[in-house]
Amino acid sequence: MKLNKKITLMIGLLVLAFAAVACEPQIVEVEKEVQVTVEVEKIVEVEKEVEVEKIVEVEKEVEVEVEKIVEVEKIVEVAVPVIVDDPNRTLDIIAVQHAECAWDSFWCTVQAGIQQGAQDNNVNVTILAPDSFDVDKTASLIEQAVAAQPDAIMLTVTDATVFKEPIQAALDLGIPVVAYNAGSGPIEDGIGYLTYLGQDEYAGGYLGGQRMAANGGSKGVCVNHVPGHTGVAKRCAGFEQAMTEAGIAYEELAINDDPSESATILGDYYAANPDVDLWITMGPNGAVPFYAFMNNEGLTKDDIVHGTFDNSPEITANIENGTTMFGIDQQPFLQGYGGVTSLALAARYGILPAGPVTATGPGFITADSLGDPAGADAPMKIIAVQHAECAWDAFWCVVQNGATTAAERMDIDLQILAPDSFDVDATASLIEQAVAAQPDAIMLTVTDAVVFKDAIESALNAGIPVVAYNAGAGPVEDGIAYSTYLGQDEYAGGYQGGQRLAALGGTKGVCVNHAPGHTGVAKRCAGFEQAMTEAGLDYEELVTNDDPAESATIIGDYYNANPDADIFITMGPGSAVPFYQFMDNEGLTKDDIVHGTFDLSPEISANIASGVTQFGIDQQPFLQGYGAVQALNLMVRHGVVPALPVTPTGPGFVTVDNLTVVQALAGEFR
Amino acid sequence: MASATSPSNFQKTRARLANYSEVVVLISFILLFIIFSLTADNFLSLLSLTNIVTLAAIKGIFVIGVAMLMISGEFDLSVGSTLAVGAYVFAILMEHGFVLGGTQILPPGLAFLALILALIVSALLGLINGLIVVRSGIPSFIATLGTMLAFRGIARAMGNSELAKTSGNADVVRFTGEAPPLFNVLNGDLNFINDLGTPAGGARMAIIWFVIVVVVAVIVMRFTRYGSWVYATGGNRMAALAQGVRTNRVLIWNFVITGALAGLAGVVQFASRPAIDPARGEGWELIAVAACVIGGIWLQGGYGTIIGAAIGMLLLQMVEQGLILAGVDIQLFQATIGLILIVAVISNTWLSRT
Amino acid sequence: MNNDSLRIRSLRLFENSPVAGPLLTMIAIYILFLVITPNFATWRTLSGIVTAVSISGIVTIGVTLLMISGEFDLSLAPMIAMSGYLFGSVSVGADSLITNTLASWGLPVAVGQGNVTLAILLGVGIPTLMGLVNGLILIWTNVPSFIVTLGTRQIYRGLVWIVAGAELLQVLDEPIVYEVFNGRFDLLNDFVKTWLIGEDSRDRVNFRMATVWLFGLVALYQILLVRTSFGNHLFAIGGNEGAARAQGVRSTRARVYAFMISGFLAGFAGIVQFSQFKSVRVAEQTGIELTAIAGAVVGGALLNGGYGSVWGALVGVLLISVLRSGVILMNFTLIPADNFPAVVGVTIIASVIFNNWLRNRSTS
Repeated sequence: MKLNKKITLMIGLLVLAFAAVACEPQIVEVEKEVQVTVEVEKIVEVEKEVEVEKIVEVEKEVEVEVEKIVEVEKIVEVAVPVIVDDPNRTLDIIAVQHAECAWDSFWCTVQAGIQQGAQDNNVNVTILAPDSFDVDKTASLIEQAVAAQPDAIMLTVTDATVFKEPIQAALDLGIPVVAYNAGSGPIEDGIGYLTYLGQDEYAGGYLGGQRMAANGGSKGVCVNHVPGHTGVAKRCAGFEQAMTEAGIAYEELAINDDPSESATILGDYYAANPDVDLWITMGPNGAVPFYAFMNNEGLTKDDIVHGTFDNSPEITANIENGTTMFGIDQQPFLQGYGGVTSLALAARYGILPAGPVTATGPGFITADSLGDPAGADAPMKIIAVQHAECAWDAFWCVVQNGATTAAERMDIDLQILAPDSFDVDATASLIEQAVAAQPDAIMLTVTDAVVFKDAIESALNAGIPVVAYNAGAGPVEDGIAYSTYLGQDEYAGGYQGGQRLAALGGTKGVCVNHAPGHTGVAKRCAGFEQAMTEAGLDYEELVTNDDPAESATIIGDYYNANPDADIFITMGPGSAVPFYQFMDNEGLTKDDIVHGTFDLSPEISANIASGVTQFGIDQQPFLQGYGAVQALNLMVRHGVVPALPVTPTGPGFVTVDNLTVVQALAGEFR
Repeated sequence: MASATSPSNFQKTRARLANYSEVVVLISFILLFIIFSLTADNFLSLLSLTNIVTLAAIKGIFVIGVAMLMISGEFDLSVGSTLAVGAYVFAILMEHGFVLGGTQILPPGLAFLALILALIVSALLGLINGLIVVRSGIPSFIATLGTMLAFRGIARAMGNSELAKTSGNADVVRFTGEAPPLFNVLNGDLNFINDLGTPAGGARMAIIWFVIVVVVAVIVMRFTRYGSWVYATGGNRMAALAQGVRTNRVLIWNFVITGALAGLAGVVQFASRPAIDPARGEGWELIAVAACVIGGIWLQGGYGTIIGAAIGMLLLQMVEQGLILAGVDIQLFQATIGLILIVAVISNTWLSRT
Repeated sequence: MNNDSLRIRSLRLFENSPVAGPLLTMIAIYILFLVITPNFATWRTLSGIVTAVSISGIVTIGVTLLMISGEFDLSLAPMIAMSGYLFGSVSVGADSLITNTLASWGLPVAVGQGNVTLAILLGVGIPTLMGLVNGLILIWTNVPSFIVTLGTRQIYRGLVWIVAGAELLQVLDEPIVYEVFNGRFDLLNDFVKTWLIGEDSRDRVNFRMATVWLFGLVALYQILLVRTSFGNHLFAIGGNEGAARAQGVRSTRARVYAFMISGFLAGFAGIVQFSQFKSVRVAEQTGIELTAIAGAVVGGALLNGGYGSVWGALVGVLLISVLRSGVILMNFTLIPADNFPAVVGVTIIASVIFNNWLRNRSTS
């Protein structure tokens, strides 16, 4: 009885309370509306002011855009190849090259790479080559290859003019094409093939110079035995850059084909410049006279530092005894192997190489790396430590799919470790625990270089090769000597994304961050901020959390407190999903605000299609997982090292224009 | 069956075992150790074993504080947040010094002073916990649930503030200078152990600190009056009060000790991974409770030992490393720990039910 | 009846009710924000406050019942996740481990062919079973529920991970059942928009169906708590279990039921969440257990049991939500959105002190 009354009264009071609550805003609303109209007027005023400036700015943007599009179009127009019906079937690839193992031993290594790549990727490769160096015959072979209508073609572009037409014929049929060993990339060659796999000559000189300058020096010399050769000139230019950055004097010294004359030139030059202590030679033909010169002058490894391009038995001997610091290898194995792999990925999954040139070198041969690789059939275990995983982030399903696909193809035992939620410290502990398992290799995400440094170094000290994927800045910037980082340039992603959004006009840009503490994500925001600042727009960062309902309310409240915010960039599905909810709540359409996001998911793709989202920044996560496993496979089993400290996999922009190709594969491969 | 023929003997053994609350955790530890040795590759390597001890030691430092609190019948859910605040104080003082209103009051890099201040601040946070619990009578579970969130807020605010000078890098404070000798004392490599095998081990100074904390705590709890006060406070607070134990003072001191140990753990960890983010230590409060309970401490207080809690923490870390080495999915680690927790508690309850 | 005595009686009633303090506080804070905060006095803020608690509110009901009987449940997050996976997979027949396994068992579901009835049954049934397991372990072992559910929480997490096939689930289909559980409540929205706001205003209103379910469940369980013998038993065993048992209360049975209810509500919350966002992760809603305890405590429940109300739980979570919206709209520099939990922490302690003071005053 008593209880009953209580309840009725309580319910009554509650209803009253809620009614009071509900009525309250309406009364205030009337006063508010006046304010609102004032605000609107103000906004209009401001817009008037800004508009004039903006139009000019936008025009500038458009000009730049047009230039860029022309460049990009060269590739994009033809580079989107037809994807095969069944990704699991055996592919047929034809390789056309200007030389072969039968008469040039260099090519035996390239072909070994092709064969291994074919085996690892479930591909049949037919190699076609003329009996001797013959440009015309090679062109005919390309035409015959196209007639066979394989799934993909790889070839050496020894002459872009002669080869242009036959290659174009292949591209017109939707056959993906890559160049290897010889070529200059699609842009310089003026042919829309996917990429050129070969040595990055400038990076070779630059990275070699950095290694030599690491212990100091007073003057560096680039010994050039083929003056006038553009590739070699690039090597010297890279070396010069490294010297300049280290504050070391630089000079180029030309020698010639006569070894004894060259040795004398070197001796005379050294007599005139006794302060020279860093020497780099451009290949065996420069290294041989250099060793003679050292012998003549009675110099030892303690007096000078020597590095060289390419390799020969004599160079190897000198690397072993410490006279020569390193030989820079263009890694012909990787040219063949990488050619097959990138074609297989393009034909099967529509995953395209990130840049016009894919570096296969410089690979550094040093006294440490001269040991024998494990061999193609050696059993191999990789542990992957990552800061997130498929169980709670859709993005990572694609990365993991890439890694497990590669591991299956290459017969590798892969174990994936990840914490339950974003936790830098737990990830660091997982790395230490992974090292204790003593796997053959470790791949990991460097979300925080400072925290991970010790753990990664303990792996390297234990002789375990390490590559980074998805998160990191490369061994140089991170200050940790892992082999390479496969991922996108986060800052560039945020910056370019910001530019695209700012070009559409707006007042205030907001970076919606659902992973505060993640350095990579912080860089995205920083790049976006830079683009906003350059466009003269306001910028703010908004932090959301793991609960989608709460996050949507947070964004809504923020928007209400800052109604001038009209440009939003989200950091992936984790913040894009609540963002769409927020738009729905507020009844906002694509005309009210502009939105771009990192990464892709089914929902994001759908919103790109409907025009709500301008773009998804695709870092090709499949390639990050696949590429990391492949790089480790090549290192452990074949002794081939990654060429560059950063191996780009993105940023690529997925917009409404190229969505259809991507959408077919969204969630699994994209 | 033995128990059937000589029930009295069996009862006696059980009763005798019940005097050693750590017996269950010790047996489980040895059993699991043997299982992992047989099933997981590389488990018996120097690197794996040192990893277990080092990683357990860092968390173990504050687990000891939580154990003392739990013996006195109270919780501290705020240890993870206190740890983060302590580490932030240390990190900011090391990297930026103390700047107030534009004037540099303390220069950066005064390692020893930074350590002392970090410990004082975290001890003060512990004092706040203690005062709230004792003065307001709010159950410590709720009080420290509140301060867990509030202290986390302090850590975040410090990361955001002028003091940390962070810009656009999401509240993370990194120490970028040359590591002072104190870092080696706090958490340097123990090379005389690490060089014993290949690959080199991962033993760190944290182990020494852990051992010191355990030894001191064991002595205090077993041989001093304070120790018996703690047990009395947890066992039967009214009786303890009647016997003249100043239970409130004991509780406050326990909270202060726990806070200071959490701060120490934060600083020790920072010395080897010199970056601190606002999420550091989230969820560790439950790990600490799990370690204590597996180690034989009663949730209601009055029963259990420091050694038990220490072995409990080592066991948790061993299971994690062992499962990784055995190639088991790391997520099943969670499930295993849950199972061990329940089994351990059931066995402990059974043993003590005389 | 004269006005004066009614006032006194209602006041006394208020003082005796667990919901009094929290409700007064919430109304006071709401009015405070109405006065001082720009943009707070809008329908979109009000509906946002209510919508934000849709999931935590439903869960807090169960947690409150448990706390009244003196127990905890720390294993709610994996139940929500489990329910999300089961409901999500089966409702649309997503190509997942769950759908394929169930189909191979001969159940009426297949890839591409969802089964809504089965989805709902599994979505609430399995978590209810998980609650049953919690309760059974508790009564068989007599281990404190804090420890039991700390253990089962880890085990259930592992279970979800296995059932999920280690992947998160996302679907794009929108069967009508999603609208029923958590679609936009446009009947109300349009009514408010047309009659109370006016079409031209910039204000928006976003009530969702989850709110209806939440208020319905609150009403249902409040009645269950105060009008049935089960509810009385909960109060009795929470207040003094020995005495309750002596009076013939079957304390073990009531306790197991309470755990099953808490599991059922977690499962329901999982369905509601999936219906709106159409995605679920293994670690979904980690930490919601403590949020729910915080909500229940702010809403007047006592940690030691024997005191509390379902209305209070609702008011508790709403109070926290009001604070959040207010704080964000105030745009404090020191308390950005990501630092709001600190405010919750202070609120917990302050409200417990306030509630205690109020209760002591009314009893003395």
